[in-house]
Amino acid sequence: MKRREFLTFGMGILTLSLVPSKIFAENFRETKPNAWIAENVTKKDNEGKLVVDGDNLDGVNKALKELYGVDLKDIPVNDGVKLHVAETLSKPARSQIKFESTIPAKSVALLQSGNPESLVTVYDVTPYDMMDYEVFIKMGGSGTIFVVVHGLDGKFYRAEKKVTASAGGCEG
Amino acid sequence: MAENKVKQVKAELKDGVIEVKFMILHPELTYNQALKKGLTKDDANFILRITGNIGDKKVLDMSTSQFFSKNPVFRCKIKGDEFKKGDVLEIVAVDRKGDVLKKSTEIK
Repeated sequence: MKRREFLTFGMGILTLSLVPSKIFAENFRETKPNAWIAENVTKKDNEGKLVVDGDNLDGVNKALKELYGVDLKDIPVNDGVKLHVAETLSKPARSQIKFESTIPAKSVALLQSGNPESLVTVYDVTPYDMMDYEVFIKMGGSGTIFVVVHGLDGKFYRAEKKVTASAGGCEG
Repeated sequence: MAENKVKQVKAELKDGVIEVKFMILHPELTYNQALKKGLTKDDANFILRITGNIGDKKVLDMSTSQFFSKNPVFRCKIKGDEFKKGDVLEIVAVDRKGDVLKKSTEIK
């Protein structure tokens, strides 16, 4: 490599390294709008009322396709992703969820199959983010909660847990 | 009507880790809840994005949906190597109506 090319290349790398990290932050509401409107599948309950079918994961799959372009079935469960949530949600309107990842990641998404839409939140992982989170969400009914990690290696990893919402859940 | 705001931001540096906790006073009104109250879907209001900055460094960035609980609480851990006690953490939340809610606190 010639001296001039080397200096130009070096200056480019230096410039990139000096750009504040927040410039690269992704607002997933703007970049992936369809992921947020991916609806969970509904069914009729015993009284003929339309309710979310928490056992049907098509809505979660649709959101993941819109968000990351992957199918749920192609995302392996990995011990590097942990999800802590009670099996029975005694207060579905305020369901405590803890999750963490030891896998270096670009982003971490939380989804569920118990509300009208499936995507709850996406963390754009900053260089300072240790990926150890706790949130409180509404669960409209029973279903499965998923944490999906988009690794820096370009691969996807997940943890999941089936939960039961007591008293039929909250109004999602 | 209660004022929407970020409340109780806590940031504690210990052993190189900043433990962050904050609450946002917000109804987090979903589309279905708005309809049940006799309002329209357009009256739904919930937080769309939450960011955290220490100085010019972005440390937290969340895109969010309508499914957080009313007055939601959030906890997370931040690598503290580049920060010190006394640095200021600012949490900013933006909701569907465009309201910007902010609060800062010193790292302890």
